[in-house]
Amino acid sequence: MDFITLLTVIAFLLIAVDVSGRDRNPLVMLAGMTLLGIALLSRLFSGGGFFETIIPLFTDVGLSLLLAAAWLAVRKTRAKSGSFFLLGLASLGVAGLGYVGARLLGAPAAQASLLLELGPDDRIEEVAPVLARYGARYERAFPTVSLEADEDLAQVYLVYGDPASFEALTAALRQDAENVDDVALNRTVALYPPVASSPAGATVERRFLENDPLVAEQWGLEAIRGHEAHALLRPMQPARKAVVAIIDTGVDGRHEDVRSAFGKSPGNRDANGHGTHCAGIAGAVTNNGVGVASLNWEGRFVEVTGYPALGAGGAGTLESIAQAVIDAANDGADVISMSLGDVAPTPPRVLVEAVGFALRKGAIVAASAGNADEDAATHFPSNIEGVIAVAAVDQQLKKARFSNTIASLTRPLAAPGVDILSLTPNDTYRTMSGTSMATPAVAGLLGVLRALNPALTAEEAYEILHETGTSVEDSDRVGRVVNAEAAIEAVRAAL
Amino acid sequence: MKITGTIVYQDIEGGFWGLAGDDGRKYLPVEGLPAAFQVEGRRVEADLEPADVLSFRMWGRAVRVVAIKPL
Repeated sequence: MDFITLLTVIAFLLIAVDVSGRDRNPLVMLAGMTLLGIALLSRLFSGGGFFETIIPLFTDVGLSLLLAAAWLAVRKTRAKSGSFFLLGLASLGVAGLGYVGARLLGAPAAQASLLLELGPDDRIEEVAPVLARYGARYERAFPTVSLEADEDLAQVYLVYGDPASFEALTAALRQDAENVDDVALNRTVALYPPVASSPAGATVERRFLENDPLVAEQWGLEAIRGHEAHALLRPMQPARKAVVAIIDTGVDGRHEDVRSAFGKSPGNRDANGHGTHCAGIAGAVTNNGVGVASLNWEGRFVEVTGYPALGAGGAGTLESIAQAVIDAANDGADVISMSLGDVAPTPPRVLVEAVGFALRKGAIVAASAGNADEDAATHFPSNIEGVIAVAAVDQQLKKARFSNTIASLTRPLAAPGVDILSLTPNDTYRTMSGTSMATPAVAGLLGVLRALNPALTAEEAYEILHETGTSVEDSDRVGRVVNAEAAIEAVRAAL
Repeated sequence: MKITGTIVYQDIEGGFWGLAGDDGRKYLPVEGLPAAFQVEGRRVEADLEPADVLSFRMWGRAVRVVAIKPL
């Protein structure tokens, strides 16, 4: 019961006391009416929309009238009790109509909620005491999904309550790691409001944690909860810097937004620009007052290196790519990012062996799923055993129209890959689209995780990204969208 | 191999020209197309040979264009 509901109940009980005809005191009626006025005004100006206001308002009034009717009945004033009872029913009827209207119009029935995901074997009753402590109520988020159909979605609950208590409630729920897999604010995703939606002549200024001047144009960072990840990373110290090797067309290592995070490597020039773009997504120095942001907060977590396996035209041979993988592994790369590939009935043995070599050396290998809008089962190197395959999603977090699907692969993940802003040679910036752009976003996050816990294995890293990833509409085709904040939290919690 | 198909522009990976074959396959000219054929929707007949390369474009079968003419 929230405070406004309590006020309403007290107000109607005071009014009932007065109208019962016994112990009449004008001050009682005055107090009741005053409290009622305060309660109604508080509800009306609580900031919710039409339905979010009228549903709780009439529910409060209805329940209070029924309580008052019960009190009047006890006091044997049946005629007045009957009036209160009928008015109470009418109010609840209006609240019910509001609820039906909200559902029919697709409006949310509550103003704010949390998404709570339990483990596959856990029951909501086990966390009910915590929810009760905060006056929260709950319902299944996806009631049509059975445990057999999806053991994750079936265990997701919407938790309603006082938004002011959400922070404390979230913390309390997270302490119950035995039952709670995840808890997050069920916020409306408005990633990139169209310019036309702003009033003419008005500019929408948004404050960011990062001081990188182009950060407002990076919708992908928001989609993977990069800003929240930065808030976590800002006070943290990595165990060591992790090395993310970009196997591509080389990297312009002197670019203003990556040079202080660029490590010794064979490919410090880029005649094409593709490799530099990928490098910026994986490790552009963040909060340096220049260019864009990645997950590499102040350049303290990730060192980027470049291996030029592709020529200026963007193509390379199996040998040049296998050699780059081996070189990167021998140089101690923590993560190897490959935004490249081709199709073959079975992946070429040389590349399988090179990837196996890198995995045995302790590297985590990520590769693009491909851009042909088809099943990536025959697309290598993303289909090689042990490789994390990365598909692309768009601004609506749907499969990018070009992205291959990766449901048939063993380690699928998704990341933003449409209109991604990053670096291009000679201190320039541009947007590009492709699964090439999604892959270094995952690689950069893997680098941050390795920087926090250098003992993290490739398998553990994938499991963390999968378990903490965000399920979206197309996740059955492209995997879960990585969630940087949740992944970093998971690694931090296990340290 | 000889194919007939349509020139298509792909606005991904920085942008490139490809061939959508009438056989339902996608062909990626790894060395690009002559400027005169960089026209969206142009119908062509092309003599292609496989190019054993990997590319960051990751779209279609990598080929080299031996000859190409408009239809």
